Amino acid sequence: MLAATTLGPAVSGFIAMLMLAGTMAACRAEELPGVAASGFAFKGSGLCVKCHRTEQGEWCDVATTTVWRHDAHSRSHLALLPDNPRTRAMEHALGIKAAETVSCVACHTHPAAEPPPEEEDDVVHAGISCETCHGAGAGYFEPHMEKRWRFLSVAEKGVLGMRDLRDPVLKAENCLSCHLGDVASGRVISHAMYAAGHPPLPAFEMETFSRAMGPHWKRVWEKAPRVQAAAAAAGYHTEAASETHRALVGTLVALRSSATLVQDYARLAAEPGDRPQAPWPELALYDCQACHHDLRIPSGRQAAGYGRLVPGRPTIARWPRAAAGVALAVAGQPDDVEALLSPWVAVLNRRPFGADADLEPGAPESLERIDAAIRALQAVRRDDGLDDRRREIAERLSAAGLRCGDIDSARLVAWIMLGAMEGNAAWPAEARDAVAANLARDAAIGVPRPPAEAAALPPFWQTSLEAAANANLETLRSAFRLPPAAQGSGR
Amino acid sequence: MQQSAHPGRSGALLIAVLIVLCPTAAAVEPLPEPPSAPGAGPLPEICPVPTGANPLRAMETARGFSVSSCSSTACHGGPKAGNHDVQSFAATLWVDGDPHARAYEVLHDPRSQRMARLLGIGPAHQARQCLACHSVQAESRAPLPKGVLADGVGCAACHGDATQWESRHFLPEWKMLSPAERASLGYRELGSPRERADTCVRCHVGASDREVDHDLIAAGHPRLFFELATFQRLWPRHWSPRDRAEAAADFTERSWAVGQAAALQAVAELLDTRAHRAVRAVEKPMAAAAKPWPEFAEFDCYSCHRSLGPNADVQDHRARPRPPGAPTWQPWYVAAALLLENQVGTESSAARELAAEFAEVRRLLDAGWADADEERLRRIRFEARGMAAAADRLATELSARPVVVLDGTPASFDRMVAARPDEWHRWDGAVQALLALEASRAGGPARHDGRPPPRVRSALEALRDSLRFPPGVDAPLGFDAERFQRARADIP
Repeated sequence: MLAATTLGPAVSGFIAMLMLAGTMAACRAEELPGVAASGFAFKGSGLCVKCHRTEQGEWCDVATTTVWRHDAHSRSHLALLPDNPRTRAMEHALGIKAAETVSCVACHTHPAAEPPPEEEDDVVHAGISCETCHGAGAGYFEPHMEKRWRFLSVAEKGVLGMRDLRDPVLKAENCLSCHLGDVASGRVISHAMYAAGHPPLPAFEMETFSRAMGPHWKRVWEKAPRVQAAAAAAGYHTEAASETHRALVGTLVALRSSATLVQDYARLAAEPGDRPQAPWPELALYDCQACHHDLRIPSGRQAAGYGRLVPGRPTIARWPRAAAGVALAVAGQPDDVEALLSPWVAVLNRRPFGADADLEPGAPESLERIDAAIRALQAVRRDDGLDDRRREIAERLSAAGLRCGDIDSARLVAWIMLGAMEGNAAWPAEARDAVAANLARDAAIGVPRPPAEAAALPPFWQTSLEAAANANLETLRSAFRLPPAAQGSGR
Repeated sequence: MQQSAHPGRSGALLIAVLIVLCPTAAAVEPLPEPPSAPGAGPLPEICPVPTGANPLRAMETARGFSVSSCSSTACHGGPKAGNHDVQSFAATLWVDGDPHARAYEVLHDPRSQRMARLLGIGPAHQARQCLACHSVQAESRAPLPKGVLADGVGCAACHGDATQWESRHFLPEWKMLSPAERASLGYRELGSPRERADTCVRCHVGASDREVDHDLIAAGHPRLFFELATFQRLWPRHWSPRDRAEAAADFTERSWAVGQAAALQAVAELLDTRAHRAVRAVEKPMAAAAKPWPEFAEFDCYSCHRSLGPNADVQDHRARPRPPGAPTWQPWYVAAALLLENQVGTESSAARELAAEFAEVRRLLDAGWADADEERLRRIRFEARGMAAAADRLATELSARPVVVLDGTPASFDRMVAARPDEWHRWDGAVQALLALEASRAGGPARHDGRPPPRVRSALEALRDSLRFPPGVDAPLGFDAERFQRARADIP
């Protein structure tokens, strides 16, 4: 039973990219329908786990499946099943069946899925599987088993359909396609879905969330010295210099995506024809806190002012901005994020939600600047000065945190800062611990915990909301203050 | 008290003499013609007068609008002490205690200045959108001198442009004129609740030339609400409490009912205006007059403006026809319409018609509330005009009723809440219900000041206190609708 018959006709436009497979009892490649956007067919993760189940040699050295078992992505499909009370409530409110709705399926499951043997025959039976992120395997399945594959460039791997997630840009785009949204793949959560009960998407920091996943990979610099030497000899620098640099690249990608998401949606909405395809405006594309804040007197927003913008109109997501500002500065560019975003923000501000027709694919200069900053960050090499560089980044993040305007931005800055201080020899240990303790004390920072700890806690998005609702911005800002011992030594 | 430094009546005479004797000194302009439809709707428009060139002409224009011109000691600005003729010290009372007198001053406050800065409109006390409500500028075609603006919402704002009747209204023949004739001269009768309501709602709800929109509110302006009976009760009177109209036993109740209908008319007309502008914006998006749609100020503030807690997500949508995530349109006036229907409309076809029209407008605004599709906007305009006409008819009918009685019993409210339970969980509804309750218990001559009898007064006070916002918050955080309804039902 092909997926197309269970999903409604309106969805067929997206089916070319995401098709759910039918019965998965025998997961043979030639039986699987569906072709990825790359044009390659899916092989099914049953094939991946045959090798990636155990450690094999020094490259394929993570027991992927034992880690994946605990990863929340492996369970994401459960949100589509009506035995989940939240799902039931949402289905009722929206008048849909989650398993048959593109907006739900596009993020929560995977086209060529594979059931554990004990589950019944159902189109919805597995979470985010290997190929959702790594790319449909038909093209690279054979080649990637060769030794020369590992140090090929991103582009060379991409030709055969593999998304090399060691590249922080590709990884960020991949993660953000669900965790922020992506129009092309139908991954847009609408405001009606949120109102019906969908948990709000928390501000997303790639490396922090990866740690909370329970990473099923190791960085090249964590592998055996022989592998590292081979990588260096091959000139393989895809992974960027450190987790911190990766995180900064991730925030720049997030900044870009937060603007282009609205732009792409606007383009879709402006297309002639029936409007319901993409009704305009779509409130969920904008910054939640722009509307969803308690009205207080005196008002911090009014005190902070609106620049040249008309007060009271929603804008694009604010959470990537503070950290992206630091990223720009580290890349040697002016950190004026507001100026960078102004082409989009100004258009949106003209009317409450902008006009779909006005959001042209403009602002090429802004996009070019962001891309240039990304390239500059990726050009940084791991060498003896790395710890000092990370320390400098932490200091910049501290400065950004001290003047943060909202909780979500502050959290991102804090998470990256904690990462930059971790295992950093250029930082006095007591200072490191003091700052980390300071940041950890503020519940609003709320670092997402890895699976082993997270199992015992309420869902991250829930604690996130509670903390944000109760956070005091002043106290939060003060948590970023560096103790005197940790402040710059004049470098 | 503002003493007139103005020429006053004798000055006018002098100028008239000068004009007659010195035709070259000033071109003699004919007095403006009376409008063709006297007595209907807003103030008649005066002919445009040239400005700037002739200061005498400017003074003459301004005189019809300035408080000082009305408030000379011999006229309305007399002393209070030992004086039994309220009319003779009406202006004294007004200047001393009426908040409208401070309306212009308020534009100099730090809050107003910050608002103007955030909006980029220049100083607040010179900005057109502020002066439209905070002074009498909107009543005059010509720019008024600062001295007149400084009066705030002066006499002319409510009583009308006095240019044509100032010199007549104290003469014996004035009382012989019919209301229509007086209206044709620009004089507004303000004895009846209808006339008062129509005047108040122009600023306190809004009109095509004056509105408080979300841009202003986000910059710091308080939100608007209006309910005539309560506003009258809280407002220091500058007229006699034994005024003909106010002497009626049902004055408060009539004011409540007529006031709600008049406010609903203004709400509908304002929606029509905004939808009209939005249609123009669709046609010419970059035109200066293009205004945003939707106008957020039309919707429930607290639908959007609440922080997202972990339990604020899954909502019961069965009872509400709106798609999830759409805010409520005009919750204050939804409650008004429901209360009107419940309290005075059970046998009134006009009330039923208004309820139906209102429901239709709501339905249109609920489905795709933010959609600026031109066809839909035209439909909204059509329905809004229908609603305005229905409200107008209801207000007229209520004004014409010999007696207006509100059924303020707990049973009537219970019935109303039971009929539409999904409408009564909002704070706006609770406040309107309380105000209706107070108006229904205040029946009696105005010398009781429109207040309920002592025995229920403290219960109503307690109910009112339960609705106050918490300190430091401009929203009904912690409002519990069920608790309110239980407490309301306990009021004797």
